[in-house]
Amino acid sequence: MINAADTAAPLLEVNRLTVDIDVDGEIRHILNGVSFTLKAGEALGLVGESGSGKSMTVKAIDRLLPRGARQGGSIRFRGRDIATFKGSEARRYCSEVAMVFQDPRVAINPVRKIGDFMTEAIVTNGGVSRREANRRAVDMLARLRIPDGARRLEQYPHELSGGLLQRVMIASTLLTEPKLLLADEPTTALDVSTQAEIMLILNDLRRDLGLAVIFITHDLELAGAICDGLAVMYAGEIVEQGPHVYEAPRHPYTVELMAARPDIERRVKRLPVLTYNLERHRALTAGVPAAAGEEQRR
Amino acid sequence: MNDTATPADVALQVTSLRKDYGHIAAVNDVSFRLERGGSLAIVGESGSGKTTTAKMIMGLETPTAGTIVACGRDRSTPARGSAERRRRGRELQIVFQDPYSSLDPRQRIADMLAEVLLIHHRHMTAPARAARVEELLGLVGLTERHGRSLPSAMSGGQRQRAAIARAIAAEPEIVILDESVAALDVSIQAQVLNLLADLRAELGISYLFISHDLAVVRQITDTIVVMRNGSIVEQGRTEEVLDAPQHPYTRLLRASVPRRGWDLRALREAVGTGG
Repeated sequence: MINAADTAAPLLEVNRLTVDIDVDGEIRHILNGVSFTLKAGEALGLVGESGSGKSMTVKAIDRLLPRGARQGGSIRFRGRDIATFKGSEARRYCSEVAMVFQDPRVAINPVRKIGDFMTEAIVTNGGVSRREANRRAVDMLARLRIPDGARRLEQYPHELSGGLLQRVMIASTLLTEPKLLLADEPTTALDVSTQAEIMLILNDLRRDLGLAVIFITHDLELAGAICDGLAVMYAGEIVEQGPHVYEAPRHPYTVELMAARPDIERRVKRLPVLTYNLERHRALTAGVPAAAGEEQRR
Repeated sequence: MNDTATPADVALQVTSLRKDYGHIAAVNDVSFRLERGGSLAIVGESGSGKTTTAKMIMGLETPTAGTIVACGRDRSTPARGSAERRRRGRELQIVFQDPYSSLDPRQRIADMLAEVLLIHHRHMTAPARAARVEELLGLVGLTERHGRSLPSAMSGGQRQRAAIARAIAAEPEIVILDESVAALDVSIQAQVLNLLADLRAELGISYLFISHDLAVVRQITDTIVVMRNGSIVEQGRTEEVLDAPQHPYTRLLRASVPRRGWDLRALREAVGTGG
């Protein structure tokens, strides 16, 4: 899968992406030149701490930036700048990029049946009949290892456990046959064995459908175990990226971040505390062009 | 469990604890012991009964059967009167997962700490109280400036430190930490885990640590209780249980933790049989 992906043209190219937001007349630089590429079937782990810009990066890709945000740089999908998409092209892009959020209960309408929720997009935008939509929904639920799909379609969200509901959410986003899945902490709220199950399903989908995935997570072990490569964000920049990051991090921030995480194999007397800060970050990146991270990756 | 320990060595003893909701036993025949100055983890997934167990220990739920003895005194039945409630508060405090919702948004941190001191140390003079507030802030690595802040002006890590300061202000014997570091960033989590270890060493507090994060459990606890469907499936020394889990469910939990060379296929088989 990885070898095949290596030769293919990138599905997504994010190039020197910047986002500025005006907060009470003060310009805040949220993203400062984020660059990475993603091929079909590839999984990228976007890791970093609160406020590092990982969610904003994904929002920019999903064209969900907050009102008043100014974007620079470019995001290309199959070689074309997504900023130029209008009308039917924009709608098509929306169906090709799917998003899964941390808490499924926030993202689903509690008073509508699972079936209505799942099939709405393909019935209203895809011109699929309700009967056909239901059939596809049941098939997709089976793919996500939910066997009694027909019964699930008649249920309400509160009747399902968190893990089951998150699988329903993933199934419903996949019904529009997306090429790229943006998953923002999709399993953080779930039990570990449920998390493992969902990761396994996503792995199968990557292999079977060539689905590319961007995982946003603060769980370095999860990202490292699942993804082809990691991109580590700090202060709105990717400080280090590539397939080596999890096994052999090179950037001082990544090294410190990895070391600060407790290890299930052994207990340490004291966990090392991060010394990397904005001052050091600025000193380190002074005079380095935004695309340097990309060069480093090659 | 061995019964050689004298009551003075035991911070918390839970015996044959049971809680029924209708016909369902949410907690069934749960027994464990937390040594004085010790740190015990309760791990398990949703519906395992770990939170219900903690609620009964806190006095937020009444057990259907069984006993809870904290600091040598029974707390299986609800407290009678405010003096009893205060005494129980001095014995046992809790730090919740989410410092955003467990702090009063309109109360400054120093005032919050002073209020705890007013309740639990009524004869403390005002200057002594102010000095103690400052000391508590220092213990958790906060400054006087943080003391003057409202929770909204603080970061998540600072808020959780404030919640820990509030818990130790009453000088409790036992602190229940209910997923207290789960929502924190890695860098903040490391600081808070170090802080908890320091406080335990300095003050001799006992921790009851409720968590689903086995790496954190390894770092912060000595003993572990693994719960599933309301019952204990395995308990013992933390390192022994994590290194050589005996029960299939513990093995499944252990295998579900992402790590280098994570074998999802083998896990699927384990889920198929054990889950």
